[in-house]
Amino acid sequence: MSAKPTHEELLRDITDRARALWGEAKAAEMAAALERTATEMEEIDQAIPKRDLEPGYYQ
Amino acid sequence: MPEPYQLTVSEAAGEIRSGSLSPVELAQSLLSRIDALEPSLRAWVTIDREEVLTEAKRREDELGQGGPKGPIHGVPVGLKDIYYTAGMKTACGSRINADFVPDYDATTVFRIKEAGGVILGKTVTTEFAMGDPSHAINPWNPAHTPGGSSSGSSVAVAARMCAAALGSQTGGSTCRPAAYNGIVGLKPTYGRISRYGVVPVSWSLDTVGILVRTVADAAIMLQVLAGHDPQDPGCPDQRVPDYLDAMSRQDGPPRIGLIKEFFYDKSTPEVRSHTDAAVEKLAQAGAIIQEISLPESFASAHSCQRIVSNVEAAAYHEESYRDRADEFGPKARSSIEMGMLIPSVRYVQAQRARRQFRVDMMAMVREVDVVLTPAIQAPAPRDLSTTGDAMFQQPWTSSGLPSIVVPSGLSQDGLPLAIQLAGLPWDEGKLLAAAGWCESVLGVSLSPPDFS
Repeated sequence: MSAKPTHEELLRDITDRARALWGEAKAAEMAAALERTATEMEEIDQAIPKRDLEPGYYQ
Repeated sequence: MPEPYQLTVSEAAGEIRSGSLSPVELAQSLLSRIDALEPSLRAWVTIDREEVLTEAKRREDELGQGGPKGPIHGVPVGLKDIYYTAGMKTACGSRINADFVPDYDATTVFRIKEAGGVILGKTVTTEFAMGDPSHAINPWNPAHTPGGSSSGSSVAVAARMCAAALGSQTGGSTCRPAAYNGIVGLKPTYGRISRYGVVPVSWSLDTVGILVRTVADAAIMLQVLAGHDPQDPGCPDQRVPDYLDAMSRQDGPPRIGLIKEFFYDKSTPEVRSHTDAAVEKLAQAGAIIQEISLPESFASAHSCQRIVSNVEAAAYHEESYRDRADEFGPKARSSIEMGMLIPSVRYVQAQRARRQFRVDMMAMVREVDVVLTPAIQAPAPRDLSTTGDAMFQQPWTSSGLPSIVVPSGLSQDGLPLAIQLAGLPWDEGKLLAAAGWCESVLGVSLSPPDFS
């Protein structure tokens, strides 16, 4: 992977996880939701703040 | 004098304090109202009539013995069916929790009782407060969704089956159904009200929501509920001011930041022109209106909200899912499954981006007293397979900032429309004051026509 994963890499990663957990047929059924989640992860990757910012959990 | 069921929290509590209305009369009036409307609106899951009347009688006796216990003495309150109630089922709209009876009260339930309130019953929720629609009916038009996930609480308050009910918000589950049903919905600052004993969707996002019919009632209920709870790690020791006093101190019209960007782009022409008309009315009454821009980090705010919510829902439901996956509704199941797939690094990055977003949103709101947007993109959709879209609420949930929805009129189809205001964390006093001022200027109080 490059420094920031591409949409395709993100999608492939979670699709592979879906296949491993539930099999090919279920992963295919989930295609639209997987695509959406990959887009969400990609959007977050575009907005990652500077390195010293800790996560905010209870805020 | 109106029928007792028509009274707001403030009015009912006032009449009880003055002795002109008894808690038992009020409870009986609301129970009769529920008997009449429940077959058509399906807002309630559990009501223990005997217990309600016993509690109301106890409140009546307390009045004679030492006066009111607190600001809502004798006032019945509805609870979304995700709030733990000792000895009363908390089914969460699910097959999985269908027979679950908690052995303790949520902190919020305890505080309602301590303030003299009467628990009226449990209201319908979508399954585990997630996306599968409930069977509650929109009192304005049964072909349209009542919204969710706090559907029953919103319907019950709109149809005068109770003056106040609790909901919750992880995406838009308090303010969106409030707007769809023509009532006031308050989502306080994240952590302002304890979530101890509230079945979670997402620990990082869940906020207790208040559903009422006036801004003053939202202030009263917040006063009852707000405050530190050591049993909720997200509920810090922040000072709780006097909210009604804060409302009374509103010294003139507020400075309002109007956010058109995104919110107008996503709205229907009717909602845009309706919001413009409302803003114009506020401006004519003296409000200083300043158009403001969203921060750059807004672009990923919705994604952060969904990633965090899905992962945490998957963590909470992991055990149930492994044993009983088929018993979840399709949308709840999909959220849980998606949460199981999201890599941990992506989850942490979403939490980091969310922190930056909160900082940026606070800087934006600091330019004014409150910010204003339309509350919903369009009136409640004519589609019972959805609870509507939470996109106008998610930014406030994701950033933890307090927000409130105030009815502003009706659409051409006769469905409620509303404005949404938001403020700085822990400053609900200023938000409520501005919302009360807007409510007074707009002069809109809605009641579903067939249930007036």
